[in-house]
Amino acid sequence: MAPCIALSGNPEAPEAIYAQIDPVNWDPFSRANRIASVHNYCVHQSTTDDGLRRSLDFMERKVDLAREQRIEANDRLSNRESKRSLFNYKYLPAPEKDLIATMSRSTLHSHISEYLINCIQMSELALARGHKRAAHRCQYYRKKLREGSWIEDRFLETKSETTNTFFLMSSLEHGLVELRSQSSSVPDWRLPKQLSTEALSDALRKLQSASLFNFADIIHSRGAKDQKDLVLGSANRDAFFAVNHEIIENSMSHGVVSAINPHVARSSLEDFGKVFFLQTSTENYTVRKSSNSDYFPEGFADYHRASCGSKLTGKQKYRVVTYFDTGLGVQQHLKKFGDIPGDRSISQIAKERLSARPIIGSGRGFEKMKMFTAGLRAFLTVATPDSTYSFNGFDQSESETDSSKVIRGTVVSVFLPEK
Amino acid sequence: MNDFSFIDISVNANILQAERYSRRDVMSLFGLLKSNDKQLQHARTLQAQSLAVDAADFALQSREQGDIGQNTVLVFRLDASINWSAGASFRQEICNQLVSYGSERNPSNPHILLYSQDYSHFSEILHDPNKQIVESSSPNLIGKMKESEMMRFISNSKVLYEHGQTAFFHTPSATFHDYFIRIGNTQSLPSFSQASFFWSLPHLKGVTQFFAENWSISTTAATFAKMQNAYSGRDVSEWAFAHSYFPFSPDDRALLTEELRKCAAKGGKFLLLNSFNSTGRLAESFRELNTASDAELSLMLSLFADCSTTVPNHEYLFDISGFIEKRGLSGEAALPRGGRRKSDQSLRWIA
Repeated sequence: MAPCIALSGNPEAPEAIYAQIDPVNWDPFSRANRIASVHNYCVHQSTTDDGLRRSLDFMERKVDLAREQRIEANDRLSNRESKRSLFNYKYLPAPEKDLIATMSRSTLHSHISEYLINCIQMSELALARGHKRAAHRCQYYRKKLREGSWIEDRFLETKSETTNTFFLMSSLEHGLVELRSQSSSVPDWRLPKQLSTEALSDALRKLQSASLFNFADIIHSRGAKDQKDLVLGSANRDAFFAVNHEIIENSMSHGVVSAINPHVARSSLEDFGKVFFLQTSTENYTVRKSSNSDYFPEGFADYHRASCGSKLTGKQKYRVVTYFDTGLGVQQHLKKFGDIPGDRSISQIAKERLSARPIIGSGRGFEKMKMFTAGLRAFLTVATPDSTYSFNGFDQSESETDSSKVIRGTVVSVFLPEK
Repeated sequence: MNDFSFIDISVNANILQAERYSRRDVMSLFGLLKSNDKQLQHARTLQAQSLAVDAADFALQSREQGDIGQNTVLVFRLDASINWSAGASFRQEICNQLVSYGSERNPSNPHILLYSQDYSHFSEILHDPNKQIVESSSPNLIGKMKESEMMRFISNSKVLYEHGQTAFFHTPSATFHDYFIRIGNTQSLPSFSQASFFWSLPHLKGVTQFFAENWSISTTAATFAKMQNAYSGRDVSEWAFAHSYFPFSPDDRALLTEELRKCAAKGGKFLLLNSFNSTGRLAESFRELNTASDAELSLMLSLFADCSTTVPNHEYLFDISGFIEKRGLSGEAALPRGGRRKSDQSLRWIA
């Protein structure tokens, strides 16, 4: 089973679903446009026609290769294998493997992101075609995805603010290469803050241009009437970027396979994720329990009460920014790479300042996140396969439960009340 | 001497706005203004936190990279273009954050906060785990920091050219030296503008006109004028530069005279910014012109000077004679008349 896209952690998904689909009747071209635009997005070329064309070329070349292999294939099994090779570089036959070898790292990452999207699309297709077993699997798979990561079934759908996904890795890695070519003082194992800030700004800019997510709303400076609003706005923006940087840097240097992850060289690739993305959404919360969606974690009610203040309706809209990496999860990662015996909860890790980086002074990242979350009066949750941790920015209380909806990786969500 | 590493904390204009509001808050105590001081206080704390956290994280990264050592003194310099006498409470916030967060990030490194108030330098020891600063550098700590930073700039291979006395350089003042210092190249070094402006501050009070002795440091003069405007809060400073070594150029002498006259007419203060003083010829020429145009308020400031050849009778930031001597160089070369020595064919002249 391909270890690289272990988004759900279920060894039977998504290839198992794929195996149920009749590969002969499946037409890759019908989806080529959409896949190309997704791929295009991943490599940050969405703004130019040239970029789109190149992405289409790239896709078509791969589809041609698959078609050739399909012709050569004699039985259904090899047919499946060749189909699989479309999306998973680990199973690619020789000619395309050579092609992969010549790819740049960022292209490879986008290739993998694309694979993930395809898997989800495959599951959708299976559902649509009514394969009983596949449909069952698909529902299970989608449920897990939605519970764990809020991955929507449609990616990069900018018409709705609840369904957007921004893949971060290729843009961050590309930025790193650019920055290193300009300056020799870029650290080896650290992500410059400039890059994490750009990644978030870029995502928010795109959402804002579609009038979906106005960042000014959440930093309380909409229609800044005077200088005071600007001061408050800029303070909140700086704080939010500080939280953003901490999350992105941790995922990039511990959770996923990246140029700044020092553990990659001395361990199996299965210990790291290949996909890292952020999603934004807006959720309503009311005092009536029944009307709240499952997205809200335990302990949110207290926070909501403080956040609402004197509002009579008890209803509040929250902007939610979620980061998802498909690594091992904080605890498992520390256990493996931090040489820390025994099981630790996330709050213990924060308190004891445990770190997989053997440098005096490291391990304060969690404190930093909490400090700025408190400054923003926001709500923070960190979910891993082992536990779910939440931090209330109003009274700075924290709680942790052993239950978790996440099967693999670390999911960090920041809830910001919309004013 | 302690090893210092300088980290500049740049502050955006919004912070100053926050400071102005805090002053309004003081007025609100007297019922003059109604303002929500709690919100602003909160915003100020948040920004101080993000500045201090960024600075401390940068120091940690430098330590990880091996750029700074375990005991290197971290000098956090607050934005040089801000007169911190008007931002005392904000400065205090940054101090608090550096003490709490910064000292945890870099526990073994002593921390110093460096800033200026009304054109004077101030420092505060924030964290000194082994009493390293108190024991070794506390008298004249600011002077030692200045020396350390200026030395760092001058010892850069892009700035100091020398070939162990096997080659000689023809200087603009028509003498020969066994080294050549090209201060203009410091402009490409990170933090040079912040550092040079900061250390020049005691000489800049009231200065409204900056004149660079050569085009090679014209960017420095332009930056000084811009930062002086920000520091003084008055948009009055201007800058100009000579196109060549003015003691030998009638055009540039005329330009300098004109600038001096204009500055005197406006009632401002003139500063001739010199990159490096060695022979004193430039200072002498400036004195002549200065007297002729009756400019009362004018001074000359050399960023670097070699006091072993000529003791300057004007202001300078750093004397490089000790540094030059340590490298086995003697400064002005006593060459035999008639040019190249016949006995030493390997000797080269670089003009």
